[in-house]
Amino acid sequence: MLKYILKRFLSSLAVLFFVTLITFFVISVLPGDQAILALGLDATQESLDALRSSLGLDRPFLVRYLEWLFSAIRFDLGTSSVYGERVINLIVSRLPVTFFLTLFSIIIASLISAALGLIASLNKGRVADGAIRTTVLAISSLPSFWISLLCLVFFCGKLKWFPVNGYTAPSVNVFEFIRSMVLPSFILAFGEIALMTRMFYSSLVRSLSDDYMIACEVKGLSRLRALIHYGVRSAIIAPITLIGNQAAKLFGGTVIVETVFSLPGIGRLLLVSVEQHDIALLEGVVLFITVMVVLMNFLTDIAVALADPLIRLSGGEK
Amino acid sequence: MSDILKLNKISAHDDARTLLKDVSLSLGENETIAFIGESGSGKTITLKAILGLLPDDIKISHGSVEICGKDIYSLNKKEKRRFLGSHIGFVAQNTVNYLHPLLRVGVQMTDGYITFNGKKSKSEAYEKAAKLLTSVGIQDPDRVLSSYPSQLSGGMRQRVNIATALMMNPSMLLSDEPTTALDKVVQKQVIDLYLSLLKERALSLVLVSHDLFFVNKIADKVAVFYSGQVVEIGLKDEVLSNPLHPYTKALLALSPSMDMDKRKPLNEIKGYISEEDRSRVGCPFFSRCPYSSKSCEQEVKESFVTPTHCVKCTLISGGQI
Repeated sequence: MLKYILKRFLSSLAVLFFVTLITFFVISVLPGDQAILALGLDATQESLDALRSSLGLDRPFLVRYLEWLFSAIRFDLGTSSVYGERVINLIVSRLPVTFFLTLFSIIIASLISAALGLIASLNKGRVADGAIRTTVLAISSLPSFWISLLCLVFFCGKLKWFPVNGYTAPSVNVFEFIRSMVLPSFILAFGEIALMTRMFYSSLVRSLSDDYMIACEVKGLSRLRALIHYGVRSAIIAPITLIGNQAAKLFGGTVIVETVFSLPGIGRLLLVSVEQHDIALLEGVVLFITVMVVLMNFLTDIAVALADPLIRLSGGEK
Repeated sequence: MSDILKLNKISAHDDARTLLKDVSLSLGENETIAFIGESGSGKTITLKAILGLLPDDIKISHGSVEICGKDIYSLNKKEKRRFLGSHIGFVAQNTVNYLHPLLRVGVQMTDGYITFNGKKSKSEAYEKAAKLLTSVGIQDPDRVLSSYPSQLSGGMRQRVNIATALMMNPSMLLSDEPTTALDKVVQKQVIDLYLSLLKERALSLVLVSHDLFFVNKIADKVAVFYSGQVVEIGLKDEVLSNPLHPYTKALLALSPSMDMDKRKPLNEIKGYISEEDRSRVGCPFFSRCPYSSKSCEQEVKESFVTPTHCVKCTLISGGQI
């Protein structure tokens, strides 16, 4: 198992290295560098050159990349030109929103999907099965910005269950913070439910019709034990991988919901950095999201190995 | 001698077809009955009907199954599970996933026992499992108990299945083609294992097999299935040495022997079990039988040639209804 974790860890580092290299490259070849942004389009070539050399932009690409990489390793991502604050501090202050949005929505989506998938697979071919799968597909087909607005109008405007525009930082009031997370989390979760339910459903259907379920029956095991210990046991692996991947995707995909609900999260930081050509911030946020995605994948691999002894035994060479 | 198993005119059908028709047979204590017949003849369905494990779309239309004097179709699902779990052992065809791939062999061998004897019986269950593994010829039971099924060979897995079936000291073992998908050497070992199990234990055995050599060695009774019906049933010697039904004769003639003429083609039974044959009122073998006559088109009665040997054929009943 240790060997497996080490292997996964090293390959994660390699992914990180290449992703940052590519992003850094793409950003550096984009038209409009920091010097032009600072001095404007009508600045003279001399003043541009002078600023570039004082910022170190005239040095070769690789040198600049390595310099950025080594300071990034020390958590120094530079200073944001828009906010005038250290990028790392900006990210850390926006982290709770995105982190909890992702966490809550993935938990909500997993629980609902697992329950629906289980109910549908146990009633395969009957009314409940068709009803669940159709409804789930319909809900997930709704665009998230639209459903966000509807929910905003109904739950926040009419019923006044949740604050319309009130984001409260967790440091101020934890309860209010969670209250402002509920609705956006559900909306994000809705987008994931169809895919996840489908995955739970199909792997459960396959597992429940496998020969070991007959063995349970013949051995006289209770229905519950057979279901949980045998049926769900092998049906859980594919969904775990999917949940991991979707969580990673959500980390960089909360922009729309954050915008509609005016939540100060990582997604909005990314949006601002792109709009304002805040290079240091953009690089920082992209690096952060990449780290999160890689980390999620790494954790997923470990979770899968914990659930599947055969991967553990083979050291990941299955 | 009281009957361990009694099937009384069991018929089963799915939406379109009749799958079993009036299957009756009985099995006494310490007896072995073998089901033979080609694929699709209803052997496995009969086994599953005994276990109450037919898929949802197959329904028993009439008849009863009695195990140790208990009509199992009168029990509800939970009662049936508990009754079968404690009275019957089942060894499935040697499929890869009959043992759960992600659970250790030990867990799978003992959880039935623990279900019946409570959580405290765990160590006792493992001891018993180890003992049974030794008795089915596994030398290092502790290693096997802590292994995953994929770490065992096919032959080992089948031994594990047999040992698992014996965990509750069942009075009857049902075994569905236990030697299929094993190589000849392992087949021989499994056959010897069954013979020694039957010698050592008070055990009735229902065996489904295509292997006539195995059947000849182990069975007391033989039931010949064709298209969901038992066309001939009797003591082993009666059926295998003095087959009366044309289908039984044809089936037995199929086995190639070492001294046969190598230039001649192998024997075969021309045709296949057609869908019309399944729902035919008369003899299901009618369209493939070389001796068929007009009287075969009506319901064929069972004729007892001896008190134990029963045949469904107009050649024997003389065309009388």
